[in-house]
Amino acid sequence: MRSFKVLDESRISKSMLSLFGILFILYIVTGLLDPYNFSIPAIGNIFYLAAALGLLAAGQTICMLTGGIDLSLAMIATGAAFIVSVKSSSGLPIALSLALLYCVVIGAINGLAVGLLGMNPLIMTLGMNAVLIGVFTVGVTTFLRGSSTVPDLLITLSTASIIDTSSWVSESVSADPRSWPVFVSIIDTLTWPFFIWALISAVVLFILIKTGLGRLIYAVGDNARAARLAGVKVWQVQTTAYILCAILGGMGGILLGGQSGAVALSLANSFLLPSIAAVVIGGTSIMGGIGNYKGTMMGTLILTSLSSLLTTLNSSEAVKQMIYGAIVLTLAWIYAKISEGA
Amino acid sequence: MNLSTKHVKAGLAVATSITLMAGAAVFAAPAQANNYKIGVSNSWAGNSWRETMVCAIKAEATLSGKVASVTVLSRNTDAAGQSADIRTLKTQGVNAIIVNSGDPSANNAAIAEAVAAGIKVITVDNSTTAPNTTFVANDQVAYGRVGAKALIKAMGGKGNILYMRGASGAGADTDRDKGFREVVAKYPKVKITKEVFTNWDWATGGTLANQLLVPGKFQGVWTSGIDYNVVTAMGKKLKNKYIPVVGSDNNEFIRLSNTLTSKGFVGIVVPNPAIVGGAALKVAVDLLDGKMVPATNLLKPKALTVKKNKKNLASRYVPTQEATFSSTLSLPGYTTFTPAQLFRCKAPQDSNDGGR
Repeated sequence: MRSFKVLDESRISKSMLSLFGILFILYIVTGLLDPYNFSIPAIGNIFYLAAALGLLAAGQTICMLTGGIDLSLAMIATGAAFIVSVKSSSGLPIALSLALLYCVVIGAINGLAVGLLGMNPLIMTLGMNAVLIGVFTVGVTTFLRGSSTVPDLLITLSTASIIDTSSWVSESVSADPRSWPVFVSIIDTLTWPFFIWALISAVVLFILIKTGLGRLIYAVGDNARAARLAGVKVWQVQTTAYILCAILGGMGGILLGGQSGAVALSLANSFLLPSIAAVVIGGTSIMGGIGNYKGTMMGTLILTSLSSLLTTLNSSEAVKQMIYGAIVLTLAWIYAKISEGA
Repeated sequence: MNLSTKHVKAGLAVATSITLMAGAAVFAAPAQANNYKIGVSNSWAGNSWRETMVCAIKAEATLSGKVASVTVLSRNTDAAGQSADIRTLKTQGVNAIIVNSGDPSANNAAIAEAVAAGIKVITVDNSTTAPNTTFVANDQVAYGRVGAKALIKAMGGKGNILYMRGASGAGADTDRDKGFREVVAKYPKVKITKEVFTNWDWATGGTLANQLLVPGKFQGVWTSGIDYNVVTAMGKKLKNKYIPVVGSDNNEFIRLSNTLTSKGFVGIVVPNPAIVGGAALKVAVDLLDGKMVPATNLLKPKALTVKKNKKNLASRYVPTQEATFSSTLSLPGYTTFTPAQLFRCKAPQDSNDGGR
């Protein structure tokens, strides 16, 4: 019966509203600390930076809806970006295909181990993470040796505005982006990464809400045994979920690589915990079956705004870490309370 | 049946004691010249810089002709794990241990045990407070100092600096900060207007650069090695109007410093060579040879720019290596390997052709 609750519009809109409220408060506080954050370019920057995390968190959402988790997601993301950059010398289509193959294989291994062999997803994906670190460490000096500079096209797709405005702003005005004409600032804010994130989000939302696969993902996460008794091949759903998760992670990694300009082997490491936090803040149950990607998107924007708030603060690193932890915990707690009440 | 079992048992006992005696004999044998056994303890695996450091140790050991084997214990571990590794190396009977310690004092007990057993202990990169050891590293105070001087020069002696440090509390970060501020204090028109920590993490550094770079706000950026993605971020955030950046000898940063000069970018490369491992190996061999070696051996970094060191920077970029490869290929007076020998990463025992 819980699957009906998921689709309960009033509950979703109430929690979405509270997430929006939290995001708004964070934004106002950041803006009060440094008024630049109220400008259009600063808002655009939040979407720009949220895109990669949003893709990783999309993968994590699908995994967590089935009651799983992917702790190898950061290495999957880094690995995909590394493969694309090193293999781009043999052509971008080949490089992208190899990265896709890599994501599908790793996702399938994770999914089959969890679904068919009944391995605990925490242990399985943590182990996979360690294996991948080893494989790439060896790979750098052997089968993946070469320059890890990201090809120009991917850098453009990861960083540039869809319409290039640089020639519209005269030299004298360009000193401060706040002095740009408003329409230039708005067009500048529409970047490729934002567009890609929006597009993929629409696809993910469609899959989860409108397709049979989406319903199966919720059903398996809600009660795997009941789903199996109802004739669902649970392992197939889980394997598909982990593969989708890996592909989304790979895309996030490539985006992150493009924004860096080149790929380091630790590229996405620090995105693993935020990718999980974004999902949890967004209201998806870590036990599976409850939640949606809209919440994760809000969670992603909240974490990105929080990061921007902490960057604006001139306090010591230790204090920032404490504030970050405290805010994330408070958010999770508030959200749990609101969801209970609904 | 019973008899044969007894015989077998007796045989086993004899064989075991012979093996044990032989083992003890090897353990007790004094270090033979040209036959040194070197142990390496590294607390951070899967990191490009550390991997290159280990390869430099192996390559230099092979070329020295005086080392029989290099045993590397390299893993992501805490002080307890690293202390266990150091003790393992001791029981394996190595003559010298090269330690890149994850903690300045927590491995002291294990190091002291090794020293007491007559093993030479060389700490590399990260200093420790352990007595009777020899330290080999880059001079991090000078690293901060020379980078600051070059940056302020490139900024024309005035302006605001975005100061992107490493990890709060880390020894190298504290030392670099000391050198950096020493210089900045001498220029009243230069101000550090924003100070952040990247934790030497690429994603964190990239996010910070994207959040903080606004046209006109800064006239220069100092990074503690998280460098090239800051330059990439300038393409977008400053619309290709680059401001000077101090970075390390990361392969990609060197490439950008070379190629973006035409667009007005000034990249200041201050090397932090991973092949300092090769220098540590040479010091280890010298100590085992009975030579006198100072307790502290510091490499003196220089700031390199395309304007002044065009040839040097052009030859430093290695297209066959990944972005974060620490692109210093030799340390005159310390290392003798060629780049190919370094990339080959073979210890003396790894190849039957002598590895050369």
